[in-house]
Amino acid sequence: MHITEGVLSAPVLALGAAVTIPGLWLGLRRLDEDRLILAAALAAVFFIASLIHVPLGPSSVHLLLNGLAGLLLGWVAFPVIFVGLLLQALLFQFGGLLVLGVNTTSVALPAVLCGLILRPWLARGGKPALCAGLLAGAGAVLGTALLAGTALAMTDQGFLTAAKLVVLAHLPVAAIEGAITLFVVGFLGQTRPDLLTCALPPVTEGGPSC
Amino acid sequence: MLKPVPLRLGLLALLLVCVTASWWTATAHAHRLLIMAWVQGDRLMVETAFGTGQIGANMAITVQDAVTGDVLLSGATDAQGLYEAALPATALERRAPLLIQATDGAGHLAEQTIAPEELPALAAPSTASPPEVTGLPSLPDHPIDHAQLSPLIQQAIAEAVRQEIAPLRREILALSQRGPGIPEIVGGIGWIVGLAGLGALLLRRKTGTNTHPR
Repeated sequence: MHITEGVLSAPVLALGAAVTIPGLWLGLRRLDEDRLILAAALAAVFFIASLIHVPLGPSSVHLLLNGLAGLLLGWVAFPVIFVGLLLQALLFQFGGLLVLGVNTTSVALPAVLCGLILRPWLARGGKPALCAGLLAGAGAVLGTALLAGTALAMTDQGFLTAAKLVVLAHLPVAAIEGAITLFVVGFLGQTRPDLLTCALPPVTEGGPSC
Repeated sequence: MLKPVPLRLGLLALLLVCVTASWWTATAHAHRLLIMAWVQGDRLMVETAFGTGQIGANMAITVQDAVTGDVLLSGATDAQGLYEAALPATALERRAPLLIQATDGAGHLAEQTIAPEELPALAAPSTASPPEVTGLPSLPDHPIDHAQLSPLIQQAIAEAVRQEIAPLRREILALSQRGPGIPEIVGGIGWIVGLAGLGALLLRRKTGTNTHPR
């Protein structure tokens, strides 16, 4: 979801930035060497995902894959998504620099929340992990649509119907992303189960993070 | 472990909504909105499209005086993504640049400014759109008045040229719609790799100073 430059009002932009900065700080503090490569890989995946168009009815929608990042990285997903959105704004002209705060918040915050809620299921492996993948993929997209719609509605009451449309339009994307994240988690569970358990925060401070 | 039952039920409901949602025929325009506006005679033409090549139908169009911000025209594009309106006399009198904005109301906005040089000279509306072409076949029957004929010919030529270059305009719009290519994608991934390298370097330094305090 990329809200274009010039659509939102200044208070909404400021609010987005005000949420993004602490999110980035929290994420960067939790970024350690063990997760760095995974974080970079997921940033690349998120960066590319917006180019993958899924034909749907008369139009097409593009993937977000923010749920996957949130599930595997938790708060680290914040800087990951920020970098992805920044590069998309600079290289693809998707979104823009002024709305980067709002866009980062609307994409990263639901992903992080889904990740924090569902990571205990993920660590159990098997079916709970698959469920966690499905719910994180779908929930993060729906949360993103809700937040982006809220940002639009807060700017202008006339955008309220548009905001509802944004949410409705993302329901199919949520289903697709849920399925994709489920398969990714299933695949990781078979090939690299350590990545799923690594997602749990360290039990004690200073203990092994993986 | 987090096990609130209402939370899980809520997530389950969310899941059900998601699964049934694939039958909903909703559209998402999560792409760049493009606009192309030009002045044709005394009329303003606007064409909108999305970066994917999809026609920008039913986009809200507003035309503003770029200096004062006064809204001169507003409307919406038709099913072909076209918007056409006569330029108001106030716009021609002011000779200010026109700011044309198109939005779908769902977070996409495109704008273009038309320089005052492109605006037609303020002339009597009768000369701007007379029913001139119908009069042409009967001309040979009468003594040709060059003073009358030359504006008619000019207008006919201008109209013909406009029609001829209409496909070119669309071609240009289509070219400007090209999405990101391989260089941008590879470049972006390169940036991510570079940032990861920088992060690794910083982390290594941090842990290095932590384990070997000097």
